[in-house]
Amino acid sequence: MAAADGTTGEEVKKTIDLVSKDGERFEVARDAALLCKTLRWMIKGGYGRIPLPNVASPILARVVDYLARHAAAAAAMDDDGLDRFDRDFLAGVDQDTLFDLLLAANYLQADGLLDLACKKVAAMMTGKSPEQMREIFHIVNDLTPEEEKEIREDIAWALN
Amino acid sequence: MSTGQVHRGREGAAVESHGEDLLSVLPDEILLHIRLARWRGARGGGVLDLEEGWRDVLAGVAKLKSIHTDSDFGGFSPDEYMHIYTLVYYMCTQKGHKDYPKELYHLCKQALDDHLDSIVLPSLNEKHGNFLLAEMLQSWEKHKLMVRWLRRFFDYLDRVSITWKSLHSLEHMGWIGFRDMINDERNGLLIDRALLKNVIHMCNEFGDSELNSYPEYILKAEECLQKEKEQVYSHSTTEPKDTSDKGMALVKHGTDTAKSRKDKKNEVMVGFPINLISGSRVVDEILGRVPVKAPFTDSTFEFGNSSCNPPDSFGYIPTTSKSFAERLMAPENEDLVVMLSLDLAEELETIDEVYQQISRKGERGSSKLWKFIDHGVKKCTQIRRSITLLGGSPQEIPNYLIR
Repeated sequence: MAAADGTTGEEVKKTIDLVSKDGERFEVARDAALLCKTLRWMIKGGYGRIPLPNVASPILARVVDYLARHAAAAAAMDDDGLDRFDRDFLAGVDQDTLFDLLLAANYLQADGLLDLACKKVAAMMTGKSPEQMREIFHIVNDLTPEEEKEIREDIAWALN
Repeated sequence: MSTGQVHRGREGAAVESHGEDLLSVLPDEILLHIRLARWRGARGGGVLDLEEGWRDVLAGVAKLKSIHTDSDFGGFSPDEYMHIYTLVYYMCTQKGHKDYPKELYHLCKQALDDHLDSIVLPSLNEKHGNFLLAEMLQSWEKHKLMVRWLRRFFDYLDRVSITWKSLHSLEHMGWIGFRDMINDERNGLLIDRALLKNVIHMCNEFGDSELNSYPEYILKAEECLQKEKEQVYSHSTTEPKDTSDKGMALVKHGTDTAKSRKDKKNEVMVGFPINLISGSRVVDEILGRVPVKAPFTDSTFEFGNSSCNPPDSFGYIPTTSKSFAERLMAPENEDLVVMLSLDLAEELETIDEVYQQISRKGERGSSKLWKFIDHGVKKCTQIRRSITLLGGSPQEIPNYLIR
């Protein structure tokens, strides 16, 4: 763990190193990393290297891409193209990647990315029956008949 | 989802030597889960991280508790912090173990209570007069630092599990714990005017931490101090002006804050600041009381009579009745009441969200949503009955949810 350059020089360090679960290092602009609430106190405390033991490198690469684009838009106060970026960002991603991005955003408290991923998942669920949702999300029904009956009674208000 | 292996610092190595002792503080339910996970692990697969996770969280909390005795406490590195944060996140999100957020919340609360009862309070009991209040101010600073770190560790828990109506956020719980400790144990203590100003400063800090303060007392204190100052000038010219001005500036800061807050709230201050503001006759007159251990005579204080009179409508409102009732509850029931309260809060939050939807959407689709609310209210009623039977005080069900 290296101390921030700010302790010795005039300038505060402008990039942060994020390290993935598998040890890969990603250099991120400070403003982009600050979009993750979980990391803020460390960044403001002058730490320049932050390990993320819950995020694999392929996912972290995508997260960093999202953060960089949104930080740049905020700095430029320029929303043009951001909506398209958001749409394209999740277009064509496979389901595993989508859920990994959602979990990473939750873990890092990157609220914009979390909202984006959750809306995508919600859209996939809209209007579907439990059986259809199991098929779409590859969910194995491991409930006993008694458990399933109990749950269906619990949510009877929604089924009638 | 699995937790990656993280490099563990010396704290991890030190903790291993404790063996089962470190885990013994955990409730039986958690220990059972750990043993079950260990057995599953032995058969291949399973969650071997569970036991290790609990050890490391407990080790982090244990290191944090050293904050009061270790003057060189330097906090936690990002590696240490992210390790514990990740474990808490993992425990709150893994499938099939929905009780873990409650156990983690209880662990955090216990860490705060143990810290106050076993470390802070004994150190205060050893002090008197100026030394007592100086120790208290120092304890307060360290307590704030501890609360800040606990909030960071249990950030995910705070965000996801405690944004319910009946439970205090971890930060708020920390403030209340410190206040109640002082209030319960140190009534009527004598302190001098110099420390009075520091207490006023602390009152404002409490105000910043969501606790309510009553500005009138601070305003009144300033008036009386001003009168005393005038009396001093009329009798002597030896008081150093710089010191006096500095003190009055501090009081002015307090009164300015109090005035700005006065427009918003008009609630009585509850808690230790009132009880500790003593030792000066004018302050005793404000509070309408005389310290038990010190007879109230003119010779006790260096100043003459004061014309300040306490407003009759003000008075100290004791909070001991509630804490006394809480202390009567058996420890095992207390744990259960905490968990049931979490269940109740979760259910109320859920049906309240549905109510908000009905309010926003109007009549469309409301009959089905009201069925959901009715169903939820029944569940809440059952939980409330269980809490009452265990000796707890359950949260009320809002009237607007009952039709």
